[in-house]
Amino acid sequence: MPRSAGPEPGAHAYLDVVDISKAFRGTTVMSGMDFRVARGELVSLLGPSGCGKTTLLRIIAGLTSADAGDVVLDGRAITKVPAHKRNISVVFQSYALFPHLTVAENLAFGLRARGMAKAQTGPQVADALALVRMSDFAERPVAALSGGQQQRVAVARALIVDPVLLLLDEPFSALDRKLRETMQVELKSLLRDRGMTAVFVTHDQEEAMGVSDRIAVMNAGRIEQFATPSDLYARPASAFVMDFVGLSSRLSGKVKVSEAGALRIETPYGEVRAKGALAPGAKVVVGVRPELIRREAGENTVRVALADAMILGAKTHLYGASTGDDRLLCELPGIQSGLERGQQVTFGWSVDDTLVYEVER
Amino acid sequence: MKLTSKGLLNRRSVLKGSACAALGTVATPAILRAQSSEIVIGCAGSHTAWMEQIVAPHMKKAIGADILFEGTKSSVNLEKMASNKDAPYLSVVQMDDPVMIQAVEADLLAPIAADAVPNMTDLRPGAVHMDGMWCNYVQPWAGVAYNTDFRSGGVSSWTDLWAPEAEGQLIIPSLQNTEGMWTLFSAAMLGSGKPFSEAQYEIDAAFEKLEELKPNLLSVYTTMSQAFNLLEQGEITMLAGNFSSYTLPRKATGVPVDLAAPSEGIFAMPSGICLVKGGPNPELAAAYVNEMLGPDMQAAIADFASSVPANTTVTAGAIIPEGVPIYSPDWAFVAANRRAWIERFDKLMAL
Amino acid sequence: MRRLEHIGLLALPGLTFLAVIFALPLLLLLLKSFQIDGQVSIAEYRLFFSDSYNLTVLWRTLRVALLTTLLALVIAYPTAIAMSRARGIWLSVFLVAMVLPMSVGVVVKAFAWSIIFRTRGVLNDMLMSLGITDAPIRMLFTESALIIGAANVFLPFMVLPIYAVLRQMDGRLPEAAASLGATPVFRFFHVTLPLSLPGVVAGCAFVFSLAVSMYVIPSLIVGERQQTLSMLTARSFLYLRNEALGATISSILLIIAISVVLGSSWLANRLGARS
Repeated sequence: MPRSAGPEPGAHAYLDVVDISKAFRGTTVMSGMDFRVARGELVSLLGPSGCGKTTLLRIIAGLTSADAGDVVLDGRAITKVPAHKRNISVVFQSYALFPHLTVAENLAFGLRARGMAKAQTGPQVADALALVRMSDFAERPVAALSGGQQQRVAVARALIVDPVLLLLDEPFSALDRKLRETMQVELKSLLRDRGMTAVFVTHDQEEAMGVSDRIAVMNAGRIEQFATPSDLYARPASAFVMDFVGLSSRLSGKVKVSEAGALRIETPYGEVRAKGALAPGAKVVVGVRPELIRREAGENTVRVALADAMILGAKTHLYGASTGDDRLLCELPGIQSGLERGQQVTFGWSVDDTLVYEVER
Repeated sequence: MKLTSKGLLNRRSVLKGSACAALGTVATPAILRAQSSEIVIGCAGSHTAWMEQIVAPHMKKAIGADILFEGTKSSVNLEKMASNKDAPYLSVVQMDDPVMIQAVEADLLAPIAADAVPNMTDLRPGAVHMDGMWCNYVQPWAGVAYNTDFRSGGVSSWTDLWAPEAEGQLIIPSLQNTEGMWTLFSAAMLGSGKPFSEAQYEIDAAFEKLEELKPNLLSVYTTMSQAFNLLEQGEITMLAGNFSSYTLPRKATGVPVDLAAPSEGIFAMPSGICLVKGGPNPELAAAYVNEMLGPDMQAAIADFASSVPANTTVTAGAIIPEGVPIYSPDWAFVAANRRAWIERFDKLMAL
Repeated sequence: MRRLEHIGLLALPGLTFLAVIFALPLLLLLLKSFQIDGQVSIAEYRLFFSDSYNLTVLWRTLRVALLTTLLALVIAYPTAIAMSRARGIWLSVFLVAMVLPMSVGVVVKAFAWSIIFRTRGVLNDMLMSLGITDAPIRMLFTESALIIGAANVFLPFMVLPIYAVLRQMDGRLPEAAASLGATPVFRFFHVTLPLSLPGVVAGCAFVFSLAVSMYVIPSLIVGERQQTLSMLTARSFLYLRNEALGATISSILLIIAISVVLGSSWLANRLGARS
């Protein structure tokens, strides 16, 4: 991936967003934002709406200017370079295809904007259409295309100009669920084959997990954690990341005893042990991924009434009765039968799998 | 009073909108006829001031009539009468003699009789036309209006209109307007070199002379008020064909204008009044005409509008400038040829 | 089908009104123009077109209408762009500035222009004090003054349709174009302009139709020496009392207006079909 191995990981950065701040009409959207992407990496900005992920994308694209900070691409500061000189392509949410042009004309747009004569665009347009398997649709008006077809055209239009970076803003949100996964697989392999560096913006954690090498989870204008999907899932850096990425059981509690890296935490469902170094009396959130919970006693064990059992085909979700923000969820493989609402169930899990986060005051 | 001026404005704006709209006024009379004390009078746009201030209040008092009036050009009044011939809504029309002739030809007028309009017997000779088809009531005189700030020497001769120093300083009326005839006839006198009585038939000479006037012409008007405004502002220094009933009241309000009587002669504006054939409220209409010809109205209008009264018992009114001949043309000849003259004039003056 | 019928019913009052007040008189007018002494004839048209003066007037009418439309377009387009980007209070200011002048009568506006254009008027004073000209320029009663005045009066009819189209345009389209390397100029000519064309066509149709048939504005700004078709029409009906000629000229105006409306709706459909 990187051209030369530097002493620090930072030296590998291809896209380097440094200390960016942005406010809209006095409301700070982000401040001191740093964000680095290596060459050839597929990265997602994941977060709820309003977290600043689209603003960051627009700043990288040059469609919005930053109040402070720098955007560096391949060692060159492009902060003051206008969007049309950055050679960064953007695939917009709902695609922003030009409604007055045909599919082929949409693809040729970027070439013509770069001064290529209309007659010469043919071969490249044909290649790009073939790449996204849309060759039969060249002369169609874009309004006549389905959502998936429009997305392919949007991607082909973005790639035909051979951009140095591809930005995608919620590219799958307009597609239905089944098509979404197909398109994700398709797009990912397309980008990989071309060695394209790409940044996705999404609020859908499954989508982010599916397409990215690394995911930056954003919340309220900050990056909470920037890691591979597996790290993010297994070792969320905060309760927010744990909640936002994947499902989890979640218990509120208070540290009773803290000694030698081991914690005893009092929860409404009984005592829970975990690893960590927090002062006694600290308010905490305890989390466990649902597939790590078994229906038997473990190092940590709670007995609760069964609130619901959802049979999802390949797996079954068991919900324990809980109050407030608390949630007790156990995921078991296959179809589990013979369970009735209200019956007492035992959930058990190991100390190593127990996540603990101090609640900020 | 409010009602009257509102009616005037509405109709006028409709008229300006399109020619078809003039025909559309057919729809209004039913409403207007509903009240029997109302009569609708067609008059000239330049009459507006004295119709509002003098005639309307007097008629309310004297004969109990509510006067609605529509001020416009004589030829438009004629068109209104002609298009509503089957169901007239105008009772009385005040318009100029050449158009009266056309109205008589089109059988649009009812004769005025002395038993219903006794005051007509006091009129001076020549004021009653075609056995009472119409009467002249007051007669303003017409000359050349000028701006006293920019042309302090006045206008001593009609030739001043043609003088090189008047380039771009002159506006004349279109032949569509009655007062447009005065420029034509003065051009006829200057062009043919004959006295007025003969010159008025020398129309080719008149048009040749008018062509020489073109460098001096800023514009040709059909709406007098705008042209007069330009004169008051000094955008032009002379407005040909204007008449005492309009210029002199304006002068009296203090604007820098005056009416000149060029030495070759001035013209008598042929203001006539007539009864519309089959018009609504005939008794009230006759009473209105009688009042208009009576000494009170004659004196008041003549004073207000600086005109010469037609009623011989009245001594008030304007003094016709002395030592200058006053002409009255052969209106039958005008009426017969006017349409052709209008077309010829428009083409000649076109830029 | 039933729903369509109901929609037809909704249009009924408007259609009836138009039929009685507008279409019927126009039809009568049209018939009149083709009739001489009760016989169907195109003699009036032949007569009209054989007179070079009438052709001059026809050409002037078309030229003035065309130039008025062009001037209005040039002024309106940037205004419409600014309006389509304006938000909140500024948008209200723009809309009020566009709509409010429509409540001022056209006679008043024409009078206002005749004051501005005077030899001793505001505009000449300004030009002279700026040293652009030594002597006052004659502007009143010129065709330029007419075009400027008419474009001013009809401006809202050009701005509003273009604004409506631009307002609806997806704001990400120019951004997408920028990200594909398009300069602002390229973006304008290849994205904004083609997408706004239906509004431009509608605006031009409005303004051209209004300008080709205007009567009060030329009467007051250029006077009788530069007659237009509608002035000829009025003259024919009111002064010449020649109804056949008046009907003929009105019908020619009508044909011009109908061609413009049909032509522009065809063009708008063609442009719209692609999007």
